[in-house]
Amino acid sequence: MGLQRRARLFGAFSSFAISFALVACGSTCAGEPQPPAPPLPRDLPPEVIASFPQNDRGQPILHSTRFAGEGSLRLVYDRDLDDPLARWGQCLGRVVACYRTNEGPIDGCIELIERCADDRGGEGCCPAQCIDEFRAKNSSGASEKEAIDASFVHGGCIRGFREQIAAIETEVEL
Amino acid sequence: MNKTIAIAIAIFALGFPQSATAWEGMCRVLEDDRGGRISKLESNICEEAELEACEPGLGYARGAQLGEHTWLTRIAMQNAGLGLEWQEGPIVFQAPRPGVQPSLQNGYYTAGENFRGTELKSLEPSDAGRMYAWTRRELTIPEVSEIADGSSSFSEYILGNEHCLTPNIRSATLAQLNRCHTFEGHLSAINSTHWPPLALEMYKLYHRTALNIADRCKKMKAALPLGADHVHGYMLDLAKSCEREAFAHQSYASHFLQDAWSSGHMFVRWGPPSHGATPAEQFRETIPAMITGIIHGTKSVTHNDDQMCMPGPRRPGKLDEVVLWRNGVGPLNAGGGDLYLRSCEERKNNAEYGSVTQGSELTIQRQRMITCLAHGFREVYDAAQMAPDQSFQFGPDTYEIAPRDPRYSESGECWNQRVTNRSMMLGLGVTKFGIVLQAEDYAAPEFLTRFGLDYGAIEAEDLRRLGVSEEVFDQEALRLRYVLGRLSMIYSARAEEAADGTSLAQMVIDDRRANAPPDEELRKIFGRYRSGEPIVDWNGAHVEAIKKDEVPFFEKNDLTSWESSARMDAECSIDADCQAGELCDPSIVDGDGVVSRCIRHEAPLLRAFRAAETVHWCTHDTWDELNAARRACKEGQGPDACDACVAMVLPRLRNACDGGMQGFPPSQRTRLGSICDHYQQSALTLHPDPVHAYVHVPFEPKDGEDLWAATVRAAREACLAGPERLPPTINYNFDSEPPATAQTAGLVGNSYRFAAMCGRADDSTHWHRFRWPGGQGDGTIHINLRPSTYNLGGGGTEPAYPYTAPVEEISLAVFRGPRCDVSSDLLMEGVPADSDGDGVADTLRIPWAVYDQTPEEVCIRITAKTTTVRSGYTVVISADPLF
Repeated sequence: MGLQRRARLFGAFSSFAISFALVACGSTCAGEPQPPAPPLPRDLPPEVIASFPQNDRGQPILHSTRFAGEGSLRLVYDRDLDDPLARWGQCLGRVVACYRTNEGPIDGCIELIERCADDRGGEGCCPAQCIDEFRAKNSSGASEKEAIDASFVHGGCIRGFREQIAAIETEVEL
Repeated sequence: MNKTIAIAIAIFALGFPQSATAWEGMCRVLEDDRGGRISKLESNICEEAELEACEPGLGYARGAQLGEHTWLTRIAMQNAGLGLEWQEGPIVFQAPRPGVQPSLQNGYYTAGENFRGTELKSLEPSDAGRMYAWTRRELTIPEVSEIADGSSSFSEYILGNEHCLTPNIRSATLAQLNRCHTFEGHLSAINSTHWPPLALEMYKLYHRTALNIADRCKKMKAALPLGADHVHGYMLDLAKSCEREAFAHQSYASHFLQDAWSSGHMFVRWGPPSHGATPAEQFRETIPAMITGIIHGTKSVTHNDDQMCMPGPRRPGKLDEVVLWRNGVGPLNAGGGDLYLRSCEERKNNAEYGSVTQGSELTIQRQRMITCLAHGFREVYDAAQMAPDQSFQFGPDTYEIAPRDPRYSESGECWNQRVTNRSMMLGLGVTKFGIVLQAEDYAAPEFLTRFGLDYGAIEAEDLRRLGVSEEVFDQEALRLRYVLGRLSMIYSARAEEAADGTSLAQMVIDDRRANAPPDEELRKIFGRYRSGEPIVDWNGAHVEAIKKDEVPFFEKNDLTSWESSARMDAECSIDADCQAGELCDPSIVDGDGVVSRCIRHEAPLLRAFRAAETVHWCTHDTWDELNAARRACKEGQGPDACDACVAMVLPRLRNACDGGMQGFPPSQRTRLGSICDHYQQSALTLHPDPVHAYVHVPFEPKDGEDLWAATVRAAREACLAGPERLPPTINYNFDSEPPATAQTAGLVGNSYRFAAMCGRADDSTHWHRFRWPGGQGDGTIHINLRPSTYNLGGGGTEPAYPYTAPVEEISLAVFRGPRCDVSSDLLMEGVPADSDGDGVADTLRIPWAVYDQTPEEVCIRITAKTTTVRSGYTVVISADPLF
């Protein structure tokens, strides 16, 4: 069977399944919410790192360009990077993991996301405040996406995150 | 500087190949580039040929383009019915060189100098003031489709990448100049034109230019005189050059259509088509360019397979890793893109997904792409033909479009293909991470927010030298991670919720609004100014800029607005002295001298295609420019300078004595041999009757030469004779009344010379008026008229060669002014005389004495005694002092 046909069949099936789930369940689906997929490892295997060019710190260079043609502007994977933005990424990853394990609404899964020890966030978890904010928004009539945006994506629930990105999120003038 | 931003010592990128652009351009050095280059295409794409890569910038413009774009264009031309001559001959700059063997050669005229003291010959086409050397340039039409990845416009490439036409980029040093023309240097930040919807605008710009040129080619063919006419063959060569120019532009346009069919380009992206004004702005523009590169795939940088250009799954059987595309709500299709056009060694056993052109699962993408490309070429072909072949069948790599759409290549079927949401997610991720991850996790926020920027320059002070403060660098490094995190969240969610939708590729989050304009959330994801405008907008925001010619380094949309003349008030010594879209040209003719002035960048393009653009040059070459070319020929600038002069003079060479024939009816003008007259007759020239655009030289075949050979010889003799004074504006029409005012021009030494009036007209009476200045003492004025064969061509049923009337059939009379009344002012009539002593009267002569110092105004009437008489004649008016 050709890919196109398989893909079409899969597409039709998945659309049907999603539609059916939405009609049948809504946000209070009788089906048990599935927990998020397991957290991802921080480290890449040595064979993955070895398959990329590396900088002098041994970090894999994933992409490269130049600015003004001088030197090189390189995108590297920095496994040691740990700041509010990296922890925000960890928390977003847990929400994404819910999409992976659930079809349709993920509000139930979000309740199952691992809580970090405090509001600084951490590895493979979200601060409880983020989940609370999501729940509050969701129950006040906001759509699931709006509630996710206002809580997890906004990131105000992660200590230091808003301050860190203030320089880029506020309106700027060159 | 943030510690997450590593400072490395090595300038690592120097060892990298060019970053991903679109279908991979592969410039190669060919020692002998005479033909046969296309035969190296296949082996070069699979890196079996081991040809040396070109140096960037200057080297790029001098190499052979043997990459994927060229391959695709060749196949498209084949399917459009264009034979091997069009596909494989290095004919882009092929033009007739009158009087040179072989008569068709590839190249154009330059100053013949080396570029900026290098050992490289300059490729910059010269203006008339410095056309000293024929510079060979071999380029096939398919290769032109590749050059948009190494030059910012067709003109820039023709200029040999010796100028940087993109504003706000430094190009003072050779290194800076070369960076202007490399993807890593500066082009990556502004190649948003290679993604929809800007790619479509770029295609329209160059495709419609190609169509307009093709339409002119058709008219050039329509202007061809009868087959027996001596200029027929040359004019046919000019029309063929025109067709090459049209197809070259179509090939350039095809680059953008091909890009739109690479799966790595089937989405709208962020970024402008031109650089920001400040280094800080330019640095900001590199961040969306880098993110686009991540989505597109990084194989050319890392050598690793990376979605979304890679056809098929990275791991066997993992169909959820396959990149898919669709047009609107049409069926899903497997996709592939850059660096995967052909199944080279590592993929040749993959029958399903080996490559875009050889994988069975990619048949639809391949067929649709080739169909669009082939239609584009056929549309140009049809525009150039007098009678398009409606029964033409496209080649086997296409599918049938019925009924034929004359604008199919611009239709949604060629431009609305978009990758699915899941493919966007796969693209955002790093496929190689799949060793430890599932496809769904390629683009996980946990990874993407740990991506750091590592600047390979040495110290922060280097960045400051480039105009980027540490603060800006840190800000943009943070912005990169933040944007990647948000995109990761959005893409991952949509890939789960609506995997087969295409809204993300349209920068829309919700598939129910898939055809809506981009969402603000995505469009402004890089932040915004206080005005609310995005710091870096989506590329579709710049569509109008291209439509309105606001991107100065692209050729203008309207072909008729292409300007070859310099701004004479714009003195310059370097390009920076000129406006955006201009360059400083040291070959501008100003009076008797050559100066540097600013010109639009279309001018070199018009010069390189001088033969194809003869219609343009018929009305744009000035008398001073013609004289400059004639001076260069006479003063020994070399044989090429004379050939260049001949090429300039020949189309405007009238077998006539002076501009008086301008007053002839057009049908009689064309009979006298000027190619520009033929075009003028066909309403092809842009300005009416440019009298001084013509060179008048009476000539006849001799020593067994045919009329065309005589014409070329006459043009060369005119060049060797050097500059000519601006001829007077004379109307030698057969006026039945004397001119109201005297002709004051024509005084040579102590005589007036009216060169012969040539040809015939319905009225056989012709008047001259002249004013003898007086003050030369008493003496005799002589008026001598001698019939001549000058300028009497044949045509139709008329004699093939000139006819000379005997003096007995011509009447010459002089009338005293100022009224020159025929009933009362007759002074004298001509008497036949034998001027050369052979016993045959061959001259009409009128001598009369003048005894005062006052000016004398007289009229001369020349009349044929019978209506069938036609003859040229020369009138010489001179004075002999009596005392």
